[in-house]
Amino acid sequence: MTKNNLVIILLLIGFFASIFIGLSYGPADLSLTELFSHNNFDILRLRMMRVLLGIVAGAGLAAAGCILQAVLKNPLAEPYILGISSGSTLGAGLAIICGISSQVQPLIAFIGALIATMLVVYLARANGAISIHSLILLGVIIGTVLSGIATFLISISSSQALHGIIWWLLGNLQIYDIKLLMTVSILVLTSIAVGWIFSQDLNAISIGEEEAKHLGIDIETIKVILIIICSLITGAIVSACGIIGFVGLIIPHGIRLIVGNNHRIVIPAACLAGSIFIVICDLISRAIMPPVEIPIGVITAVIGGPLFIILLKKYQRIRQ
Amino acid sequence: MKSTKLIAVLFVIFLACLALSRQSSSGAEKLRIVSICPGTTEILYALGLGEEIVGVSSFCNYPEDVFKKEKVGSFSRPSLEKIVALRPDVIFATGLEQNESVNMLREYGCKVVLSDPKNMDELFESISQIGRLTYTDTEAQSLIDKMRLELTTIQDKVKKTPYALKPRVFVEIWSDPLMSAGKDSFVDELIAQAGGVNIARDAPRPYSIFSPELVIYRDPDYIILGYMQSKNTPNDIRQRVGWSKITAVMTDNVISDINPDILLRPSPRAIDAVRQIYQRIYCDKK
Repeated sequence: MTKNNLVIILLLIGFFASIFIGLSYGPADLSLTELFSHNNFDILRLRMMRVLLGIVAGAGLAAAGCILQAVLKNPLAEPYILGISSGSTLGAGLAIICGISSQVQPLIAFIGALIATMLVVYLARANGAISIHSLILLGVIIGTVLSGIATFLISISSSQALHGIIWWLLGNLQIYDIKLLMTVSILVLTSIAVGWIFSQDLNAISIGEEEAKHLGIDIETIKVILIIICSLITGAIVSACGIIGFVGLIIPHGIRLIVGNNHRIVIPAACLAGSIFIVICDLISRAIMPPVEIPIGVITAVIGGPLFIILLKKYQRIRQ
Repeated sequence: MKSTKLIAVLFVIFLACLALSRQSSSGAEKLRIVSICPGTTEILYALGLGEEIVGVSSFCNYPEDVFKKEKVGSFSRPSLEKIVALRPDVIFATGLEQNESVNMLREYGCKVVLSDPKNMDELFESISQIGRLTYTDTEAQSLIDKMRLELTTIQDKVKKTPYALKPRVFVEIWSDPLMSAGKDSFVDELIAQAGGVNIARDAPRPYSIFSPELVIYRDPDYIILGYMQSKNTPNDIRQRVGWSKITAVMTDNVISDINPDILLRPSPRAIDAVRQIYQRIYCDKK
């Protein structure tokens, strides 16, 4: 058995274990038999939805991170780099300020995210090609402008809107709407699968655009497809659970350290690791001090940062 | 040449007179008050100090007259320049987010009075302190007496209900994420005064993200919404997964028509909130 197969198997075991742990612990102090009794079905269902959202969000953010890091050839690339977070924040902010029903809010956030990315890609296009430098710069600039507008709207609105947006920025996996969850899950999982089909092309692109062209790859089309896939994934996730930082940045890097640079392996491994990471972080966020929940963004940063540093140091030593 | 000098001297004298006259007119013993705390603004108006208020925060929205006052900025980020320019004798603020501004104002030599009542007793204390500082002790005392009387009337009625039978209430401060008010919050006090039990009482902080599965688990009899997002909100709550079997939802007791301002602000209108909650959870039994 190769090392990479072993890693995938270990990740799969971790994946199922995290699902089990995520379902069995929570602020309502129930034993397993109580949890599976008919009376508490609603609580179990709520936990199942949360765990599923965690899996989808973790897998999606990790996959989008992998793809964007390869396409943009930038180690700092992460799912929110193309203005998605600011676009969706502006959308969600507008929805909250205008008093739009909380059920429609995710859709508006999703549209905001897509418009922001499309704007970035459109502006970065010149002479039929997309310059990676322009893409990254425009992502940052459009992001800053949009979050500036969002901040302006928030600062002139009531305290309640302020409230809503601040918590939105910290991210959370609370979900009640099964239709929203299903739409997001299907959209994200299909997009990941499509991204994975392009993993050979990603391998070629990450070596160098010139080399990829020599291999006969239509690099401009593939870049656009992959960026659209990433923005669909990220936009869908952001619309359901706000902005969860750090996962899309460190999980791909961590996985690359372990399994190497072949995207056929990197993408599925990162998806599994991202899911485990988010499900466990969410479990901590809701179980550490009941009845209060801690924003998941706090947990992902506090746990993810040190974890990544340990991993990095270990592999630096091995390489030497 | 001479006449120019004369004109100049006369002009200076004129300016001096103008300045003096302005000073004497504004120095007519009238207090100049700035309040950057919506609750305190309401207290000041209740004490008949409407005319003395020269500046308020943009979050102050009651009574109607407040909209005619100079706005000195938002609740957490008031404009220091505007406040200082209004030359207030006293500034009323609250703790928490305003600490930074309060420290700055104090460095400018302004007199800043903080009040952050967490329960009725502290609110009464705060009212009588404001009364002392603004020479309206009698008005303050009669306001407190009036509020006390109303509270005792309600409490006499709910006293008979044993704790185990008291209606259990969940206050939703915000929907996404779900937020509620713990035991140090003013709204927790209001529920207790109205004879209810706040199911989020064990949350250690005034406002925090609350676990939705615990709301299902603890099964409140009433849900009070402390925000106004849209008219559909009670319907949205019914459609949340797992929430349809909560007693409050099944018995149609999701209360969305109590003004969030009176629920969340330590102000004289808090009594109205207590009365409204009491009526909903005791009198309107379906």
